[in-house]
Amino acid sequence: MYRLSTDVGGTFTDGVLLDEKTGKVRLSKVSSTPHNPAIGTIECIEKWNVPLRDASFLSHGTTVVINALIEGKGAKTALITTQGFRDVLEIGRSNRTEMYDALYAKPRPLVPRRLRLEVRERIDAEGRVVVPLHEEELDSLIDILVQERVESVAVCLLNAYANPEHETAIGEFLGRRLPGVTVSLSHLITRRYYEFERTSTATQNAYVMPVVRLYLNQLEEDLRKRGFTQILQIMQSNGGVMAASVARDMPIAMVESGPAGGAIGAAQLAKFAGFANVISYDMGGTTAKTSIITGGLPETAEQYVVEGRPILLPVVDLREIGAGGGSIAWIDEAGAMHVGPQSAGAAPGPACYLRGGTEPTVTDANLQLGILDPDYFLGGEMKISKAHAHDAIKKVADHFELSVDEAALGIVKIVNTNMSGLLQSMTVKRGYDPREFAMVAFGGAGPIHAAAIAKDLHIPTVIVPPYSGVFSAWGMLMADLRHDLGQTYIAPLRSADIGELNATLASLEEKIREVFRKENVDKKQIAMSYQLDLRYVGQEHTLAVGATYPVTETAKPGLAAAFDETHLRVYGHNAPEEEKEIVSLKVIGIGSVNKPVLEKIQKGSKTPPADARMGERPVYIGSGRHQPFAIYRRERLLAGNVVDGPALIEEVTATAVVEAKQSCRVDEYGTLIISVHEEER
Amino acid sequence: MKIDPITLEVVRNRLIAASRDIRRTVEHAAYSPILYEVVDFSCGILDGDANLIAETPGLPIFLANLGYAVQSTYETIGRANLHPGDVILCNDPYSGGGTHCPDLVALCPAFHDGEILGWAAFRGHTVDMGGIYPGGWYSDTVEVFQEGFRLPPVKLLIEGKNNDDVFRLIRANTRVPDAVLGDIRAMVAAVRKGSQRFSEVIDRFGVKTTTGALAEILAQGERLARAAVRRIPNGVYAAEAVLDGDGNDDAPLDEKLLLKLTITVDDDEMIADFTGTGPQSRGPMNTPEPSTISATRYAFKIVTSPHLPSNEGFFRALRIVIPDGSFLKPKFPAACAMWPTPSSTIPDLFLKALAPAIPDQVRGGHFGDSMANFIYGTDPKSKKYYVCAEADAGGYGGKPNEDGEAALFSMTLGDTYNVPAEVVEIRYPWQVERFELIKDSGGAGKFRGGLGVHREYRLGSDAGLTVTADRVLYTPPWGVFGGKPGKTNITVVHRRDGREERWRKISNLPLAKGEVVSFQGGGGGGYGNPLDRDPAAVADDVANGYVSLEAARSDYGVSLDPGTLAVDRTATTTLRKKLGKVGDKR
Repeated sequence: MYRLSTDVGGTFTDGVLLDEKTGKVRLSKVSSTPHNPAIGTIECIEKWNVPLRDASFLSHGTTVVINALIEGKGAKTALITTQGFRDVLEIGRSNRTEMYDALYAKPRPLVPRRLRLEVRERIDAEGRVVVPLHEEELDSLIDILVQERVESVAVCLLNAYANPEHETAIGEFLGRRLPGVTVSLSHLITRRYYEFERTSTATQNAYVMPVVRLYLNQLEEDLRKRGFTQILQIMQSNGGVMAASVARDMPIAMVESGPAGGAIGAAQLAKFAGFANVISYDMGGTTAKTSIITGGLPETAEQYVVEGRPILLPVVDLREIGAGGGSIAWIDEAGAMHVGPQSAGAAPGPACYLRGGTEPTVTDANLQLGILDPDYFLGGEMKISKAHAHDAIKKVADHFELSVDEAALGIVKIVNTNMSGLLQSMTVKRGYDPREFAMVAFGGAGPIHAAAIAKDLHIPTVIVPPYSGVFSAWGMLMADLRHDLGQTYIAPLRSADIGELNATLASLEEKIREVFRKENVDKKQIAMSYQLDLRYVGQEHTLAVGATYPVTETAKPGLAAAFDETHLRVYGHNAPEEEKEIVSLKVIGIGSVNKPVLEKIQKGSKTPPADARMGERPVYIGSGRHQPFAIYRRERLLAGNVVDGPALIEEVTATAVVEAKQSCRVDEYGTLIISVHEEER
Repeated sequence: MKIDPITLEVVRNRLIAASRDIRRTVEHAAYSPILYEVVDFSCGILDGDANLIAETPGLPIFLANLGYAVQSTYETIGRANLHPGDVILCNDPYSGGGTHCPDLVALCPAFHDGEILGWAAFRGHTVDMGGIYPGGWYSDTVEVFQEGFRLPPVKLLIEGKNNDDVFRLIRANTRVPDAVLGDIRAMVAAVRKGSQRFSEVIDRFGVKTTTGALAEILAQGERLARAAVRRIPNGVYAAEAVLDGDGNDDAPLDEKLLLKLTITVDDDEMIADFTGTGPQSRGPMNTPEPSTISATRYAFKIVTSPHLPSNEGFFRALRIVIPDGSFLKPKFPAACAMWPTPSSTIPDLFLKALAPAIPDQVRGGHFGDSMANFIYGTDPKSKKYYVCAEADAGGYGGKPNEDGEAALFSMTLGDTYNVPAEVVEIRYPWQVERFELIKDSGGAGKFRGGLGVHREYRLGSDAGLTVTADRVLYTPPWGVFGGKPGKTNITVVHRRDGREERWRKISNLPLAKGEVVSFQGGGGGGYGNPLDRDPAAVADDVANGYVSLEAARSDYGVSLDPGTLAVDRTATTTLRKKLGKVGDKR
């Protein structure tokens, strides 16, 4: 039997196949087919030429949702909301993110005002019906929806998080009267307060629903035709997968599926290598993305923003900056040097790509320094020009009267600082010390810069995975099913009614179990965990504290103490004497998938085999000096080999840098584990 | 010392990150919505001589006024009496604060070998620092002593240890001690973090390189600003506004305050001259000099370099002239609770004055007031005293190529978030009746002004209300290049007996359970002649309910079929000809 995963990206569709018996891994990469991404996915799978009836698990990541949102290619959508509140979507939070811009434009609502329809009804903050809903008043809405040829409807009523009965009634009514129109009810996606964010979430869900259903229908049919009998698993933003049948109703949960795959991959790989706490670091052509993994799970954020529009769903907390191989070095009017966030992207690309780019980029700098080999870029498949890189960097060098080498080193130093700032702010925000983490580096440019950044932040270890070029797809292969449900529940911790609290947790858990049943998940594979979001009374932001179910009166002081402790870690201070308040209850359900056994690579001695060593190359290290770096071919290294820096370990899609005084060991799976020595002052 | 460009960029980015860390710490640990939602704060890193080096903007109107707090600290405590681990707190408008009493400033120096090389600073609004009524924002005070408990720069922490006396003094002088002290704890944690980051830069790069880099960062800021000013044509540009005044509507203290601005662009320098501005007010509409300076710097940044990070060097290309004893430079002990009101008109006036010079970079006037409002009372359920401080949104002016934005906070505020209705209903004893745009509130124009917002509360218990809206009587949100003004700000109270009261400014107005208060932020002014607006755009506005059928006719000269909303081309042409002639006669 086989396990498969496919990850549709902007340029390529990546695939990973794992033979469950032997642990052997095969990769596949084809060009994406943006007009119909299902085609590329099938092509990617067909390259392996294996019968799909032997597939036990197939997970899939796709950009179909994020593209529909970014390109504005969703369905014609209407919104039904409480009387007096149809402008919530347009008013938003009234903030100006670009506060010095006189011509600032806020994100436009996905639903025009004339399609934001109000109904007479009202529920108060405690969930009591203040104004009942009259179904006969909904008839007039049907006329408008039909006349305007609306394809999808979002329903978000005020305080529906506390009592969803009116939303449910409207949903049933629409289902009866307009069976061809898709409907998204806000409370089915999230039971959190904050009406703008919830409305925005339901609206975006409705907006992409018809597009996603069409896509999934075709993909499932194509797979079935080829003998696939299992459930198609879709990668979600929260780092878990869900069945395609669930994704049809919750497409907005897959908005960040690709990057989440990378974070899950980092978490799994770190586990195999024996690390629980890692920072994942994915650097590609235009951006660098990072996330934090503690206790083997990626940390999540409570909401995410796409094109300025919030989505109130847990998402792997990824931070991104415009720092990639294509980031351009430039000089401002005052004569200061900067790198990025503008990128030469794939076209025209860095100057050395010979596709018409003339601006100096990070990749050009790495080529100039000697880190990249002009004759072994993409394994020699792509010709790159050192002369063009040199000429592009010379523009910057001449301006500052620096040597071209020194300017190239400067470009790399600046981009590294930008990235260590990003990583540091990630850890600061959560109160972690980077020294207690390992860094998993992947993406085309990640392994080049990882060691230097790790040194800067005193991160002791850098891990470079095998298959780093298709690492998100590899992560998807390792993903468990996961569903998060949260409900706003405001009560003082000390006096909270335990019975009611447990009943709420139980109902959230039951809803998750219902989804798992729909996904055919074996009961024995299901694990539930429970969290309370707490704060000091009067505070707004909350911190999550783990709880055991059922919560008891005697457990309350422990929860309070755990909150005080977390508060101290994250913010540097706490106030144990102050009263705590519960804000929401959360249940996370994991349906664990049997983890495959990975193939081990051949064992070797401490000294790498002679055929792995490809000679050496001078690399510029500053102050006018070059240092010879040993070159190794990664696929020829054996388990147990140790490569001492300075060295470059090359593979087709990436190059890992091991600096002087660092050493790199190859583990049993072929993962590179670089020990980063503290910088000497 | 000459610094190489690479080290300079590395140091710069680390200091910007340090400033960001201050904000991050406060945002999450703060107690009061005014900090974490309204983002009524600013934070930054300064050098040892009080020059702003890096800033993470929160409230733009606080731009670059942290230096004043450091200067005041040197003057009052003395540079030699400061030690590592000290944290300074101040709020006195006339010593260290520079704004009004509720704004607290926390400062933490970064030392090296006994010398102060830099500062981490935070300024933020707290809910209550005492004063005549709750909230710290009044329309009818006549001296600063009425406005709150004042702290000149004092040591809140002495060499890392809490100075308990100061904490006790604060606790005794605020109506909501838990919230205020919670916010102060967050501020202290934040500036200590920022100071630590600054020290790490010194440790890593050494004193010489660090100080050299700081000087170069300022020099580069100056060069960037001068290059930007050079892009504006030389000339003298003027604009003025008449503010309504202060006091209460039924007992005014000062009326018709003239705010006069003359901008001179002379190659690479800009002079902003407020000569001609009216005298110091008897009431609280006085902006202390440091705040007038920061509002003017904010305006300067808008018209020169909106997308660049700012530092003290930028403002070397700006000269500011403020007449002594005017309401933009009041003398102690003038009341100053309403200092932000003139400041939200200053940047708007910059855009109006410079419209002929840079027509593609300006817009019509905005609703022009932060619409600050305070409701306070005792919660009938918890029996606890609460103070709800909020701002309301309104419309911005039409732009050179598109309609104005609806429902944004005023220019005083920035990346500020409103309090959602669902949060309001949990926190306070009232129900939100509506939260919607106001039809026909945007000024007509080729590009229409953005719509204002209407937020309505039905009170569940008795309460007090303070509102202080301005820009209503004399200077509504103006249009530019022939655009029409937007609708003005107002607060309407619906009494239980059916009476309707309309208030611009009133302090401590009693409200009874069941009464409805409706905050209405005005719209933005139009850009260009409304008769030049595409009739299809007008029809679309009517279909969406932004503009009424009547206004389409009277303001835009567009005749629409009331049923289908199709444009009647012939009738529109005739109507526009007629309206155009009337316009010519005016």
